[in-house]
Amino acid sequence: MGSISFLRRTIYQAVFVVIVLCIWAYFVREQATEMTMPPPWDVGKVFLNFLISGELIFKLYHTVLAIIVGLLASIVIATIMTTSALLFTRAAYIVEVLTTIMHPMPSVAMIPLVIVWIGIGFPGVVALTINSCLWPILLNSYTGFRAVHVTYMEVGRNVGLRKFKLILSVMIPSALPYLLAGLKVAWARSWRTVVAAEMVFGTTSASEGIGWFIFEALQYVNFSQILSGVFVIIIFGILMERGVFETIEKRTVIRWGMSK
Amino acid sequence: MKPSKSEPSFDGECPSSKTLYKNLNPILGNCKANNLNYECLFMSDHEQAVAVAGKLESARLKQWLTGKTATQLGGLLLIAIIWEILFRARITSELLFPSIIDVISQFWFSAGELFMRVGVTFSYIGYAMAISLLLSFFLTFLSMRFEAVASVMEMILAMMHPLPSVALLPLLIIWFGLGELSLLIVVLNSALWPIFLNAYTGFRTVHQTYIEVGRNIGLRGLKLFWHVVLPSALPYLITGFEISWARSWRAAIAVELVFGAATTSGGIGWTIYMSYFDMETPLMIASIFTIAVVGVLAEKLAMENLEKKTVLRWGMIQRTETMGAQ
Repeated sequence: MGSISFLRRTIYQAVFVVIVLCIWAYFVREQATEMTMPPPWDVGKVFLNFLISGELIFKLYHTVLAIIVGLLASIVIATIMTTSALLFTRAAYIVEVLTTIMHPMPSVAMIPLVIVWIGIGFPGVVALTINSCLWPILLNSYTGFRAVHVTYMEVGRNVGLRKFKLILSVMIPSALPYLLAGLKVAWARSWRTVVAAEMVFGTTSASEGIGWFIFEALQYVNFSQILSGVFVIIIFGILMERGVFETIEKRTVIRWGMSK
Repeated sequence: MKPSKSEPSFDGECPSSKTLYKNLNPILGNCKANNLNYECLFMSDHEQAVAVAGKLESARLKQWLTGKTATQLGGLLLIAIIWEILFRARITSELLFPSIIDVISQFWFSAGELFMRVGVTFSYIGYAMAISLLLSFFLTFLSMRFEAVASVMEMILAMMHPLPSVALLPLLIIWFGLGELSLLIVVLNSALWPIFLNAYTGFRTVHQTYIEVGRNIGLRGLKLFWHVVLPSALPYLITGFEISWARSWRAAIAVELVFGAATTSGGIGWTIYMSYFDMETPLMIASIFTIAVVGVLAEKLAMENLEKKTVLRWGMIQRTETMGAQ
């Protein structure tokens, strides 16, 4: 993507956006009713209103809070399971069979089960998040720690590192590409799952997340609200993937020359 | 080998310890080699053979019992037993927490129907992936030809790739209604972007040398594409295909769940939703089992073989343990 100069790329993109907006406006004037498609400026106004009143941020905060709680819980569980898998062969066998079954499993399929067992509310969302985060994190941390080069460990021992210091300054850095990949997959999966879950939990619950924000708008056929929600999801997704994860990778594994 | 079982007699010459050891040593060695203890001194050949066979058998059994398969089966069985104990303890209603035996028998009896439902879901995914494969080839071609298309596609990709496609569902419901078209569009949206991203990256990073070698030996046009460009972009294409499969499988189930009772679509997600709706908890859990089984089969049989048969065998990638598709 380097071959196209920044200026020209930006111009092309801006032209494209303008064309899309023009087609949209034309389409609204000629065809659609206010219900199915309000003009772009109306959507922009509604979006700004939601943004200024803080409602969008609030909804997003609820979704992200659930994800963070679930993510932290699954990191703790994954740490325990990885440690026992690395120490005991039998535990490793069990961890392997569990990840084989649960890792390809879409956690959205668990939504009804979670509703029946835990209920529709914050705990339910957190349980779903744990289910979608735990397996990628576990799989990657197990693989990563097993793939630590024996030479590195021996060098670490030679310079006098023992136990926790060895884990902290040799094992974790060399498993870090895997750990980050696990976190990334976990984030992407839980983000998708939680948005879907909030939609399904939907009408019957007091759930507050961004998924519900969109789905609630569907009940009132409030097109602008739906689009605002989708915008926020897109922007936040880009921020997380481009901003947070790429920065972490650049600061650590790329700078250390461990992955490109 | 027939060591005497009678009491040692000291009538004659008492054998020195050295000669005793010399006489016994081969027998002891034999015992050791057969993994028997010194009792074998008092056994006949036949008895020894039986003992050896028994030892081997038990060693094999022990190996199997401590081995991988048995541990894994045991672990799963343990989970099932804990489940059943929880059920018997009646901590909650049978309606919410059915017996594992009910669930398994439900799975057994309705396996045919459940896998037929999976087939319905698969047909959406198949359509979506075929369309997105063609579309991403076309878009890649255009993007490599025209800078404008490339810039615009990069922007769209950056926006749509991280977007959970279920979030588009309310929009699509307003525009197209609760039907198969909306479902197909959502699944298409989750299948297209990973394939396009990987196809674009793959075709752009084909080594210039390969293309020149291909030209040198006289390949032109379609032949060059088929024999040089496509194989060297294949690792990327396969990765894209895998991610796209994982995502569209998730998206299809999510959409069927969110649509719920309102549609006629009869996929596996819909089955889960309907059994949830009717409070047929065993059927619901059996459907979730089915999804797990399909996921494992797809990952282990289809996706791993796809790599093994092609790029791994051609030595284009090293065997790495995959980090899991999103």
